[in-house]
Amino acid sequence: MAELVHPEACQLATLIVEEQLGPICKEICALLLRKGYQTLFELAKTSGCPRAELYDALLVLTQHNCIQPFVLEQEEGAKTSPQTVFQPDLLAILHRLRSARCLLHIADTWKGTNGQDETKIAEAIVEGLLENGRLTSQQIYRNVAGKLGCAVDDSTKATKKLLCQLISSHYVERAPPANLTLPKPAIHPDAMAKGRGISAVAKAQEEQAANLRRLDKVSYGRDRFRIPSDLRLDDGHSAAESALKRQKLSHSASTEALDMGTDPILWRVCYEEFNRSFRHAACIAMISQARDEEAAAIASAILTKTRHFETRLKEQESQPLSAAMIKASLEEMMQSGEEVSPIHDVDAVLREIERDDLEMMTSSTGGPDGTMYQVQLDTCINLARLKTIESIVGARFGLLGLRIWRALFLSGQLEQKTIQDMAIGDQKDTRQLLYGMLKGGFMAVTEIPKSADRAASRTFYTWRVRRDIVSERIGLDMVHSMFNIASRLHTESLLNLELVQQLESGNTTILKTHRQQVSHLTGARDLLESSLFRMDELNSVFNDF
Amino acid sequence: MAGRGRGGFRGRGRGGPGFPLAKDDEGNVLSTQIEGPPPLYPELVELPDRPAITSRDERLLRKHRALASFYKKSPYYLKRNSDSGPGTGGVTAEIDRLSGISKKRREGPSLQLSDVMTLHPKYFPPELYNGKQRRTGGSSAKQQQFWASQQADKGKDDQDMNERLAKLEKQETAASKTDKDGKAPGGGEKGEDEDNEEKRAALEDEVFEEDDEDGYGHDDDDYLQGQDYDDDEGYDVDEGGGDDAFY
Repeated sequence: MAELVHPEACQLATLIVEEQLGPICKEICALLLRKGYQTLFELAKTSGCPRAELYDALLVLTQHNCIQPFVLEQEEGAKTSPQTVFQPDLLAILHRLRSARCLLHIADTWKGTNGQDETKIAEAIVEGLLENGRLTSQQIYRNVAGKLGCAVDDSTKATKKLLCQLISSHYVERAPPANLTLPKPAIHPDAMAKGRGISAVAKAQEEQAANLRRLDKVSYGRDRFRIPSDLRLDDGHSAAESALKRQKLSHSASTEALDMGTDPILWRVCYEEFNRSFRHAACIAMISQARDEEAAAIASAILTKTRHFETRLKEQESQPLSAAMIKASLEEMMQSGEEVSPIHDVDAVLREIERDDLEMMTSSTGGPDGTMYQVQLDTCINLARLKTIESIVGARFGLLGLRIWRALFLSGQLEQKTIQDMAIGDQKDTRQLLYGMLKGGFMAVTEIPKSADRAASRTFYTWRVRRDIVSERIGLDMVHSMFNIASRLHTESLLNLELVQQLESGNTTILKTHRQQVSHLTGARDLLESSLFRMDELNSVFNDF
Repeated sequence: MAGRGRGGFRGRGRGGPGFPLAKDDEGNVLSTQIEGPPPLYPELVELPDRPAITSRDERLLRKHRALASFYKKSPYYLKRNSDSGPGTGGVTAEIDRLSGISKKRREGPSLQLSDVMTLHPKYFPPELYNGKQRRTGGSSAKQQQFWASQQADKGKDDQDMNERLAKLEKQETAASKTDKDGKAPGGGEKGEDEDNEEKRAALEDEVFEEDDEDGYGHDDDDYLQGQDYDDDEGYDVDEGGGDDAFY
């Protein structure tokens, strides 16, 4: 979804911003999504908003991580000050739909040493960050104290500890500064015109390398999850130990000293880590459906143990683990209270995994610790996508259509006659379904003409299914469906605007005639919002994972 | 030979339809005749069953609505000044405006963005705010007050609208029972608002009460009597027809 700039994705993003941040932010966000990054002057000119409203909207959108300020790179020796541009972050806006799911994930899976209390504090921290966008650590302590209904001093220690754990687990990250250089778009090799020669290519590549070097200087990636010293200190140790730590730190790199300075650090929720957790959950669910609960438990143990070794969201496979480490991980999970189905014979299940035809989990021998097992995350996600595509094909085109699609998916490129024989259908229905699926984007057709005039009677038509194109098409259809649901929800609220305002203001003086309207409205909202969340879960399998 | 010259073209054209034909992959001619007018309505689509809302969905909905409610009531939700002008907020806003009850007085002074945000040049470009906003940015007292008020509101919002409606129904049935029995419902701790609610409900019930014999209000209100009511009007006019029968 990083490359997804579908118009309906942008429209969905503006609907989300309008619902949560108001009409002014919606206008500015829509403008930025339509035109790309803009300077303040360009925004003032094209938006038509008064200056005060424009500045407030930009502040709110930055606070909630919907846009990010960058600095335009200048040539060396330029006399003017560097210009600030505002770039929209489409993914971050669309991920705001998952905020409730993130809270639910923390409530269900966060297991601290202190049980429910730590889970509540972790949930309160994440909720505060989702509500306010960005907060300093002091603001987080105050916010959590307010949610728990206790004094700030009473809860600061526990909150600090949980905040450190959330940062270590990568659920919370530092907000990026506003002085990062806007990364230049990579020059495609085909974009370089013929005849320029090697020197122009070398010059362009050198320029790109220089950009990257400059980016490294103000690199945000290295500091993103670094816990500052003030959070690490005063963690229950004695004053002497704290003093010793401070002394050690004073001799360390200058970046550490900056954390103790006056620049505040703003923290925000890291959606990438939540997406990683959801991706793992989708893989485990797929293994559970395709095999059994015991295999899913082993996959869960492997992914829990090797989570921190993943460097990017779309890892193809997990790190390999030996049988002994898998058993140890299973025991840890059971002791921490996680819901894991008990396995009587782990070795037997591992032997079955070695014979897995679907290759969702694979094994490799020859290592010093014996046979190593790993989860093939890409395979699991592809199987999940395939299952969804088949259910869509079956619902739209019936059983015959599903047989046709499967025959093509397994066999590759086939002629119509062969497809008809394999799918056991008649000529007319088969042709109708093939062209219907071609129109829906589920398959492709190739012409192989026998003569130069390409006459239809003298041309072979072969059909095939290309999984990547179909997945992309389904992903776009899902965004389209989400937009439809969101706009229907918006329309329902507009049609019953006064009633919605009364409900939101808590006015319960509702006449008899309006009660039916209220129950209809609440029923419709429940249905539409729950459908939107389910669509988002499916959409994440196609576009995010 | 004559066929090759002038007559040749005639021969070729004979027997053909004179218009392009649609053919399928095997070269068979497809029928392009329109069979009757197009259908008036599209085919009836069988809609899928309404999905059931599970307990997980309910938890998600609750959290989502809590967040949505927070955003709506926070200083982050920016509205235009014209949005709160006359004729823009619906009946509720008009009543508030004309009754003279200021929303600000009821809800308290509104917070500025600079009260709840930490405006530091490291994260926000300095051209978007002035020095005064930066100095007062992230004021702890105002922030604390804001979060406390949001937490208090959350407690009210947590109660499902259906539960509130059920509560209202019970209150109304209790009020209608009280009016019939002539006794006050238990406890003298009702507020003025609840009394007004009961009076309004009682008034509605009075207007639409079906205990009257003919279902109408007052007997002497001839407006409600309908066309059968003879109000003795219009009979004094002499139409000059004499005593002949009137057909």
